[in-house]
Amino acid sequence: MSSYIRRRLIQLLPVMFIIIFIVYSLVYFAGDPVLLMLPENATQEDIAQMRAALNLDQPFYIQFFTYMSNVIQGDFGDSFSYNQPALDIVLERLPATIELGIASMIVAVGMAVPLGIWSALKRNSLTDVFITGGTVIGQAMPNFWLGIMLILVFSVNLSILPVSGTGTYAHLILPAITLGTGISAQIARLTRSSMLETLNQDYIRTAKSNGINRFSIIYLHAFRNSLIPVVTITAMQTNALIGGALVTEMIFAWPGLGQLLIQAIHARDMAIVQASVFIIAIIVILMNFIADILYKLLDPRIHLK
Amino acid sequence: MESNQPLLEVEHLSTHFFTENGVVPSINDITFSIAPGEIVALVGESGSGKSVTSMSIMGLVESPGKIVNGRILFNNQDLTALSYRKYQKIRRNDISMVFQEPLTALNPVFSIGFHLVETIIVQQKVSKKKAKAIAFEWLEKVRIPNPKEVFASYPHELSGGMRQRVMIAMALSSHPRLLIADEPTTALDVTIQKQILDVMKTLSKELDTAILFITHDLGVVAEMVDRVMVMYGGEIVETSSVKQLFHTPKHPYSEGLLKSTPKIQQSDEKLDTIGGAVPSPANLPTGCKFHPRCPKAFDRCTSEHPSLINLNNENQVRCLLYES
Amino acid sequence: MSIPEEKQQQDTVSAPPRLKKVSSVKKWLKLLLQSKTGTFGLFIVIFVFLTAAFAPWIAPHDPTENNLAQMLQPPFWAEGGSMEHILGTDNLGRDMFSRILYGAQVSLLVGITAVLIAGTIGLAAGIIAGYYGGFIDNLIMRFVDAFLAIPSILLTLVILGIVGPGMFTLILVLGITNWVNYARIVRGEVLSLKERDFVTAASLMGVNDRKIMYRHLVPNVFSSFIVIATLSVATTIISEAALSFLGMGIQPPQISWGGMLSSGRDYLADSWWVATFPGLAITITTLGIIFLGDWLRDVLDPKTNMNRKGR
Repeated sequence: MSSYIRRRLIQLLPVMFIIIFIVYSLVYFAGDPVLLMLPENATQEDIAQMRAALNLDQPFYIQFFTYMSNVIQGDFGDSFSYNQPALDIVLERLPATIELGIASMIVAVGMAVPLGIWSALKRNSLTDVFITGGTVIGQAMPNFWLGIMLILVFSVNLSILPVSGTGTYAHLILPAITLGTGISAQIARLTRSSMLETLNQDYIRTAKSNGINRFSIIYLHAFRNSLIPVVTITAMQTNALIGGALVTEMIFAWPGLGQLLIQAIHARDMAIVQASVFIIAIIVILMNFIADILYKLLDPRIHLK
Repeated sequence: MESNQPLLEVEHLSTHFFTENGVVPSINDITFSIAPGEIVALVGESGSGKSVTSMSIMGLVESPGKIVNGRILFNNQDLTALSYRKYQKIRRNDISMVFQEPLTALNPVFSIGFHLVETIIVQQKVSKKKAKAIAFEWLEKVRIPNPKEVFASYPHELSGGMRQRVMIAMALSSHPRLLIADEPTTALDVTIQKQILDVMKTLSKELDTAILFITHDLGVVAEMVDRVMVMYGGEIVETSSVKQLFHTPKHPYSEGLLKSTPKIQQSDEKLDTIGGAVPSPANLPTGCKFHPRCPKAFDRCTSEHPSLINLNNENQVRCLLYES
Repeated sequence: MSIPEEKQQQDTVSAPPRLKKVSSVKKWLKLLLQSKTGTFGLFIVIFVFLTAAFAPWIAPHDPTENNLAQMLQPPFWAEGGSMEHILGTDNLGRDMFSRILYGAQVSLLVGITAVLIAGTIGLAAGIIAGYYGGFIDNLIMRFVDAFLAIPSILLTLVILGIVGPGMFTLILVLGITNWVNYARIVRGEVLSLKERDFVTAASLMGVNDRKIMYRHLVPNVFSSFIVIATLSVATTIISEAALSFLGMGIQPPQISWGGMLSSGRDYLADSWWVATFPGLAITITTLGIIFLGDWLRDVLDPKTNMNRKGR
């Protein structure tokens, strides 16, 4: 197991290299940040001095390797709008996004798994048609529109939930539903098809012929097997989750990484943009890694070597 | 209980599948019986309806399939009339089943021990500790050399023969009165086949369990059973004792089957094959189901459906040639 | 010892894989009509296409014409609404219905062209990676991994933030950031195709690589490709709307559903329709495309097809 993890981690090194490369290229091609950072009345000399201080007078590859060695040491440079190290600001905003992400995942899995099992068991019935149809609508609906509609219904018309902000659990409900629904649709569809597949397997027939009761057959034998792809896909939804969080945080003024990032893009605060993209990539990679390990732990047929 | 009272009586059983493309009559008017402790074979090619027969007896025919006619009497109790719950009781205590492919028939994410213990607890209502003891006892009974290791293994870690032994242990641990073995050795090597058949035969004698042996393999039949029923196109076309079937097969299909089975003594003999293909149950020919492939067919065969003719007590045939 | 089983006979007779011929329109129509959702999806997609194509003729008003006297009129069935503006007007008094009709043009244009760009890059990358293997494969797949680690909407947003918003850049950037899915799936298919006899035979006969790729690989991965591409049009339309919503996509006065939604957000308290209808338009369009894509998958991809039917 540990040797497997080590090997996988080594495989990740080139990926990390490419990510740093992409992150750096973004800014390199964004153009000269110096003019943005200096007051308008700066002299040519000031500009040249600044450029030298930032290594901007060096060729691309030297700048890149300098950047990379800084990143490895956790230095993404300073944010000029906050006048602080970019990484600090990003890490400060991260917990809010993680909180939203976990809440959304709970909403997503909480809706998806029961619905998926239910529609598989009631295959081709009206219930199945409704659930399957609902999941397609959930997939088709842009989450920012869902968020706005939720605000319209629950905050504007019924005024039972806050429009935006943070602090209480009530603040978390609408953003979590907004972000969770689309992901839930994916998981529900997978749960359904996975359950249908396992329910058709020979070992289910064996269990039935041995008189194992229906509850164990569904929730122990069939679900335990369906769980393998479901868990994997769920962990792999991190990518979609963070993508969705960008917009969701904007709508609900949720003070997370997404909001910070969009503000930073508008302000051209590239240090923050870079640090955020990098941290997000690390989180996604980490979650996919966990998914991979879980997949192998859940399926005894796969040996970790 | 009287000794001549049959254990299982299947009467005029018909199971049809109601698919989107029409009704598929998988088995039609199947009638046979099995005495306690008897070993009977149901022989036929795939698509002949033998597996549907076994699933019908187990009460596991699923939608769109349905038993449309007939009764299945087990100890004089009609199984087709049972509720799910009562059928569950029969499956736990009285009728067991062993399947063809022991890799897919065992749940890949559970260990052998889990399978055995779960089944034993459900069937015999014992504690987990007791169940474990029974499980080990049975692993030994099916002659598994290293029960401890096997108990902790997962299905994919065992050989086909070992897995099938486990399946047999699971099936027999409740001391059922009837074991349905659906092609239990087809997926195995010839040498392993023989061992498995041995285990089954010995244990069935020991427990006085009747076996309905479903196979397409006449070689297995010869070693194993007392009586043979030959199925074709969803019907029984001949019933006979093993001896009689091998010496004087009556139905042209049985004859064809025998000719296509190699005999151990004359291994250089050229094997015949039955021309044509097994008809799909969705598209059966009129008249005798076998007539398109039958070398002895005559004009009546295309239009007239033969009924099962009693030749003597233990020999029946469904063929117009034997009409008197 | 045994009678040959029917199953085994079927296994040995394996026809060479070929792209299903699109020759008979009738056959396809029949297949389509068998699926209610597929028919429904196609119906919606055709409807949206017609809407986009004929917007100038159908639209009752100039979609960009401001009319401050008529601002925030409700739809006709609500109190104060009129048939003049059947879906009401927005904060500048522009006719919602006309704007939604025109919005379809942008959504479809961006969705389809971006998918074509992404698909071409992904197809090429997937085929090259799968066919050549080794170092090239490794390199491409590590790029795929890296792109997978950065949510594509995030990358798109950042690049748009740098190069500036607008329709042309939006299409280009969406194309460049969404190629990985195609690459992964195409590569997987190519790897299994490579094992097949007809590819081995072709390469043994000295057919050159490019010919093998064009003649044998591209046609054979096309079914899967078209399925992902169709479904990606839906996700790309949503991405476009999200980016426009965030102010990084289509810029006014060009009309996009995402942009309309964004302006509607500020008037949510008393003019619900401004944000509701554009979102509904997006949902219906993507719903149609997803239904169509799912149907295509059922028909073109025998693997999933078999699962659906069970048994």
